[in-house]
Amino acid sequence: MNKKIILVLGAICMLGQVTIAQATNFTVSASVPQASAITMTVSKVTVNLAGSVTSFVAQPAGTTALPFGTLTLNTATGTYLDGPASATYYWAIDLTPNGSGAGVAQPTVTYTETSVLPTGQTAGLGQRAGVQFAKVVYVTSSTSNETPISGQHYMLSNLSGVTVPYTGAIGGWMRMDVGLCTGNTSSANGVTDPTGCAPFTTSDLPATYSGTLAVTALVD
Amino acid sequence: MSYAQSKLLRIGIFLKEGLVYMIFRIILLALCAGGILTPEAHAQLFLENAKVSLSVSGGERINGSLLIHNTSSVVMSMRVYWEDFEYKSPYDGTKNFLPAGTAPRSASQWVAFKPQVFTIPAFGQQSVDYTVSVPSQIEEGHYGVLFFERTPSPSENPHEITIVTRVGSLFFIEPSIKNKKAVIQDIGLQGNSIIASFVNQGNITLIPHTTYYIMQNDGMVLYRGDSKNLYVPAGATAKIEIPLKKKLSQGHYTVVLNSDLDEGDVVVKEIGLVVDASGQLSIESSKD
Repeated sequence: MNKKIILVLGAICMLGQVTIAQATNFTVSASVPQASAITMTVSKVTVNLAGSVTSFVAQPAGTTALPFGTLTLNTATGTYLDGPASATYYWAIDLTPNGSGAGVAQPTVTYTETSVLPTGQTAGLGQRAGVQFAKVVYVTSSTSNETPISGQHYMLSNLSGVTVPYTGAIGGWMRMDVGLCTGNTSSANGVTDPTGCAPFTTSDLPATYSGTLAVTALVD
Repeated sequence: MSYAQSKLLRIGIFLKEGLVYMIFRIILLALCAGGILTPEAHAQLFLENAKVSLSVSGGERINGSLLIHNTSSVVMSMRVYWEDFEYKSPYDGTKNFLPAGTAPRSASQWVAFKPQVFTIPAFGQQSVDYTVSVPSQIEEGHYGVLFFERTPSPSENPHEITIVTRVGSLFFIEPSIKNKKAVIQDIGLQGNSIIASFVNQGNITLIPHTTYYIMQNDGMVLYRGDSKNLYVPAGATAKIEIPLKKKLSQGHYTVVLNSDLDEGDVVVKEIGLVVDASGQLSIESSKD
């Protein structure tokens, strides 16, 4: 009896194996299309005379305007700055690539002068402001370290299809600091203005100066 | 030194009293060692299809759609427009953008799309439909990009920079019967690298991914590697550079270049390399 049961069980097992052997293999696959995206945050960074960043304020989502306001004359230097000498500011634009895998869309940046310059004025805002690309590394939820990327310092008017140098920001994220040029020509006093850039002075004609900074994300 | 620190130094220029300036420098150095605040991130535009590749026949009509997401909490006004593009030297993927219809291989007259102006609600999405109407004959690849640009709000602020963000979908409209013909020629040495020219002799843009290996005389492979993709329009020539990462001892070697053109098409080049007793490299031969 036991032998019969064992034989029946054996037959069932063999049939089961035959069934398994005849199973069809299904290929499971999925492909994720290459995407193109821009993730950006704009913050206003204020610095005071004492040498501290007094505020770093993330602007509301969707911020597209970087105003420098009505400039103030520094009588000691004859230059106009974006605030009294006791408190000035610049704009920090944080960018992260948000493409897909090997086809990560690497943004390019182009500046275009949009204001109509008054007769006799040759330099626009593009020759009075600069951008420094920097690597930012997370430290805590409220603190990060920022390091300028060598060679990535431009007068705005020289930004024409410049590729955001993400490779310089590996291990962190990319920041573009956009500010007015101040006239610093001595490296002993820190980073100088980008080549060709000069501050607004009393030689510049009164007008409203403006431009656009186009950030374009495309795959290769 | 961060931009903030740099800016502070510039402010320091304006300080006249030496003591105040010294204090300023000390605080600045302290700032160098520290950090600045971390903002929270806001995603904004996300276009699902960054590339549309179509193999078409003359007279064919193709419909499709692209989906763009607004991943932010604000309503976005968008406009959609076409521009031509061309890959430019050194053909590493960088592009020239041109007004619609001005590039020699423009597809602007073939592509219609709608809507062209719309708003996307917060965390919403919008589909844009396109139609490609191929003329009765297509003999080479035609290219362009459909841009999705966020329209900035008008502003009255003086001395203002407006940020314009745009994402795009590249269109590759190529004949179904492709002539993917290319040669690797002008083999030479430059420093410690082998250089060659990749010449696109076909009728479409080629995006070769070149791998290589270096083989000893006894058939043993010393090492392998690959180079970055090239983006070579029809008729253009791009430079391939193969760095010799390891110092080769005296002897004869074979370097095999394999440029993958996708869909099973490859261009292969075998290069004979000689290293003399002094370590001097020379090209001995090359063959397809």
